[in-house]
Amino acid sequence: MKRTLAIALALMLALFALAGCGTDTDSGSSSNSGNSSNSGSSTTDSGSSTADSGTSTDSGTAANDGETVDLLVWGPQEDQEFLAVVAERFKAANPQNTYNFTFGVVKEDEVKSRLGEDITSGADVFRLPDDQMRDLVNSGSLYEITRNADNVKSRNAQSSVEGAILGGKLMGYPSAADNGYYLYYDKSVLSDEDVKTLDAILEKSAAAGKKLVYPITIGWVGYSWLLAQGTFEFDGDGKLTDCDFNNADGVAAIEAAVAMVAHSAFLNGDFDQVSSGLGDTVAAGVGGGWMADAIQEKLGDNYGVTKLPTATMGGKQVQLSSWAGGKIVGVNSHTQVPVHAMDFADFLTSEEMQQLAFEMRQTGPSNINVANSDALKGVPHLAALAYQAQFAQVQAKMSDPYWSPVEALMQEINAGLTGDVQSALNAVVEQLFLANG
Amino acid sequence: MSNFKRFLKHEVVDFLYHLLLAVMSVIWLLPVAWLILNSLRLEKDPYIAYILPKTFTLQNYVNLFTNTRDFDFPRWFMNTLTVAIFSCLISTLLILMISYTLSRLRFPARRLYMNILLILGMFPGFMAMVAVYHLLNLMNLTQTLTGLVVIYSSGAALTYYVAKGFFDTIPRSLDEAATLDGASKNTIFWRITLPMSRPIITYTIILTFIAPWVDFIFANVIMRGKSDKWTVAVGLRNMIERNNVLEYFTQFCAGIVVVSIPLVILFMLTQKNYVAGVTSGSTKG
Amino acid sequence: MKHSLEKHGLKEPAFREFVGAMTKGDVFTRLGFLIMGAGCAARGQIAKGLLLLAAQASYIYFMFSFGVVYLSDFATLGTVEQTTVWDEAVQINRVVPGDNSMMILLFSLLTIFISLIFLYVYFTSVRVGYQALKRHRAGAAMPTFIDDLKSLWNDKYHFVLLTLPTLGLLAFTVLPIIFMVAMAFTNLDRNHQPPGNLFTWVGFENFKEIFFSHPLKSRTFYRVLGWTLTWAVTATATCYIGGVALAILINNKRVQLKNMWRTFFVITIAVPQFASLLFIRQLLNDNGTLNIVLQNLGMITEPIKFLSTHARITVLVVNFWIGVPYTMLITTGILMNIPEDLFESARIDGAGPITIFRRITLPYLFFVTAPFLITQFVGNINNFNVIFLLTNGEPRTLDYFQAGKTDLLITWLYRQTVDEQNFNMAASIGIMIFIIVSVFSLITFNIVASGKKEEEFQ
Repeated sequence: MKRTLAIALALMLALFALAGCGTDTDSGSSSNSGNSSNSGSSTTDSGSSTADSGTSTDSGTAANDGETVDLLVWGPQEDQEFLAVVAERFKAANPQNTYNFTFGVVKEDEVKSRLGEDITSGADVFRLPDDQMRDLVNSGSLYEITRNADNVKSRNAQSSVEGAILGGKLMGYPSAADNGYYLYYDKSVLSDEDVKTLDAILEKSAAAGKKLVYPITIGWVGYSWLLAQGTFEFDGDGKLTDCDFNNADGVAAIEAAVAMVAHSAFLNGDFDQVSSGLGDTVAAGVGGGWMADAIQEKLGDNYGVTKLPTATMGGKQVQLSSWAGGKIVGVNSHTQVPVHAMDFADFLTSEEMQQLAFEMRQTGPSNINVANSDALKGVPHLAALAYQAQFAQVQAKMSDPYWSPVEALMQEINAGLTGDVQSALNAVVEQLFLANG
Repeated sequence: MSNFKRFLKHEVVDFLYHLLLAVMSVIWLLPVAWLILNSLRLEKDPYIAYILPKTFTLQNYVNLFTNTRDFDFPRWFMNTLTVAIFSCLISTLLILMISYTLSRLRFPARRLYMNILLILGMFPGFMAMVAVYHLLNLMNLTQTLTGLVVIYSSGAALTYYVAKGFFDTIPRSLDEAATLDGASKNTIFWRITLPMSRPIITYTIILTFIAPWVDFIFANVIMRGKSDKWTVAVGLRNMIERNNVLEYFTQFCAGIVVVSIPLVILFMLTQKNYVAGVTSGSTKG
Repeated sequence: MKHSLEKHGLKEPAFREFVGAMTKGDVFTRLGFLIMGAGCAARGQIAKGLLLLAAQASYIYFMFSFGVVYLSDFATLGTVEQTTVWDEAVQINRVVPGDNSMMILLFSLLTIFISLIFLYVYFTSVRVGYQALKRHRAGAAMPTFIDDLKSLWNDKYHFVLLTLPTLGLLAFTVLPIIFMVAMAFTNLDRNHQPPGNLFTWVGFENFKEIFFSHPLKSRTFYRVLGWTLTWAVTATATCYIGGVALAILINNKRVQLKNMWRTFFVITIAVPQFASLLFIRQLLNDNGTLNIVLQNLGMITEPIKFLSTHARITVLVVNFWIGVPYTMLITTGILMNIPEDLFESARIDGAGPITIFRRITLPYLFFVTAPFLITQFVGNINNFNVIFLLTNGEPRTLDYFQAGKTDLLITWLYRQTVDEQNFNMAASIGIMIFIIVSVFSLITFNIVASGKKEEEFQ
């Protein structure tokens, strides 16, 4: 179909050339098709369209006939090796069918854009950050997960499962629960006692001539102040229903943030400055699991990682909050092979594969059994993640427009807030509700 | 005495000139120098607060070309080079064709055509990315280097005005003489005008050659995760993603240095022509 | 020109010729209204007739296999929603794809495009058939197919040269732009994303919202527009002055090693901006090298917030860094090319070096670089790279709708598409940018082109 279309198109474009020949009232018409045919007819088997998945569509019952199934899987660069291993094991576990896997390198946070451009050539199975799920569900890009759904719900942690449910339907397979942030610190500067309160961290760091890097101007991190005492609730469809950031507690939180920014030991920077600066000019910094190896290597015995500290808000110590985010494996709603795609996604997020992901990539699992394993508890940053999770808010209902107002607020604070805190917070809340659309 | 004074004054002024140039060069080259230093650094940190690497190494360059399992730089480099060469050839030809036509041939609606071309180039391109993607898809050209060549070349005609200005400056009497000798317009274009257009050809070649090396938006959308068809810009930017940057930052720097080399060489080889080309073009707008 | 109609006094305005084909044509010419190329074929121009017939056939094929499918939904942009059906056998909620408004919009526009082109061919084919008849009646020589081809290579050479570039532009520039313009009149925002949702026409709603009715969005639009213009004027002026000054400096007779100095500056152009700006960003961080050096020198105690508090100044300075080498390159050539006799006559008139510079060098420079200056200005309005890669519009502010202090319209637009998926709003902003820059450049370019000052300098 595509090919004939392309030829028809080429012909049509050739028409244009043809048309040219008549404009002069001079002699007649002819075709300079020598030129024009080049432009359109370039269907010349550039072929390689991994786009079209599906030499077969699911027939009748799933896994009992010798089908040949093409599956396109998207994952970020660093997951490619892991995905290839999983694919091999999946083939071995399902010898009744022939599976041809193709892998595409697509960053998790670009999945939404790539599917938005063209869902039909999108991957059958892909991984995405849970704060993009709502957008993809709204745009009808995800398949509802119905096969083996009860097992999926029971084997994964409650919060991860909740994150994968929208509008009462399970829309993806929880695959990881490690997208959070916590505190890395240099034990040669800060003691285990110091890192409990923000005040002590700032004081000790200043005394040592070092810095605390807290990337508050990233909306994701900036929220940790307002969430500390604030209410921020979404309904089942992912619309914001309750938010009290502009009450007295919110004002206290922001005033505490302003005080931190004004402190000489505070440094606003991005995550790279946390991992690069620790052991050097930085005493402590907020970051996530992706930097754990680098920091551990650098600090050696002085490597410390724990939950976020408490901050002094309105005279009392309040634990700073964070987001408990995770990764979801989704199935393309326009896949030609939904049954096989779901089976693979199921396999990809199973206990064994999450165990493998932990071993190969140190991924924090959403699977209950893997999460409770001793091996996992021995990993300091995952332990810190679990500790901080008690004070964290589930991220899954979030989506892009809700980051923006808080990000704007924190960036205003960093640049030097001009107005008063109360009216700024009123604007934040107003814009957050505006994001409901 | 006065001679000595003048001599002194000359020397001082000369010195000041060169000092000023030297200071400015340092300012302009500082980020470039830092890039090179980073590419020679052993410590992998993406962000350092000191300037000179603690340990120098060439390992980043070696890794760039040998450790290709995750980041296949040599392949991306060849992809980009291929796309750059083809799109450069095609767009240069297209630009020359269109500018010559607008400069030399007279036909109805010529002025209108010129104005339309002028403003078309001012539309913010990436809004239309989705449409471009689907049109390419219709021709089965997404995820192919051919598709990239098509995109980079198809818009080239929009930058006709400099070349057109150049053709305006070539004396028409040459054409007329050739016509009297029985040459067709086609012959005149290929045999007379083009050979005289070295400066402007150089200029367009440079402009069109650079685009594929620096575009990180279109190429990303067209290739859709097919990493063996990526260009260096897409691939290198992927190297500094949050999850990769801690490991690959210095390798990224090495990659940028490697990418810059062909462009610097091209600039240096063609500097004379480039300058002349732009000037002559601007004279007539 | 040996087959020119003019020679036989048969030339007519195009439309009258079209009507003439109906009123004065013979049966074959009239048949040409139905079957393209019939008029030509009947007069012995077989090849031309067959080509036209092939064009008609391919158009009809195209319309039935492709065009009609989409065009029929153009008015509504689709009516069938994506649904699901429970499939008991495999226990899944099978997705039944509905209409995809985006595809309907794009491919309808494509069909309309091709139809317009076809109409033109059709119109021409009738005329060409009638022309053949007129020649036949006047007993004039009938051009053969070879004659036609030859004329393409000479009298109508502009068709040969323009066809390919124009086709490229039509397909990959004009059509996408029209697609974008069309999106501005739909409700394609984040809540109407295909394939799960349909979107439809809403008229001028988006424009109304951005310009008047939505306080936050319209305030953002005007403020960002204001900054965009300020930025464009300042950035263009500073880079121009800096580049010219540098070029003059290097061109000074006393400066040695001119090529070396030039190469130093040109090298910065060769480093892709997505890398060089990353380094500048690192350099200017609160904890960046520049701040550390300044602190170590004791010049400052607190880090200077280049990328937040002073971001607007920073982006202008960095843009200066980027823009000066380009201007330097271009003006160097111009300076070297100033006709020597201009200086000479001035010197004879007794003008000093400063007068010469003011009266001759500057006006000459300004004149020859005017088009460059205009394109630079437009380029700066759309200067995506510097802002996106350096500050990404930051610092954000609550005064704006998803925008920051250094955001240009173009970076705001980009964020509206990629992150926020408000394509309709982005398209409206895009149209506004387009109107501003195209009006500006059409006026200025035509002033420059019509200012017949060339003689002064030649």
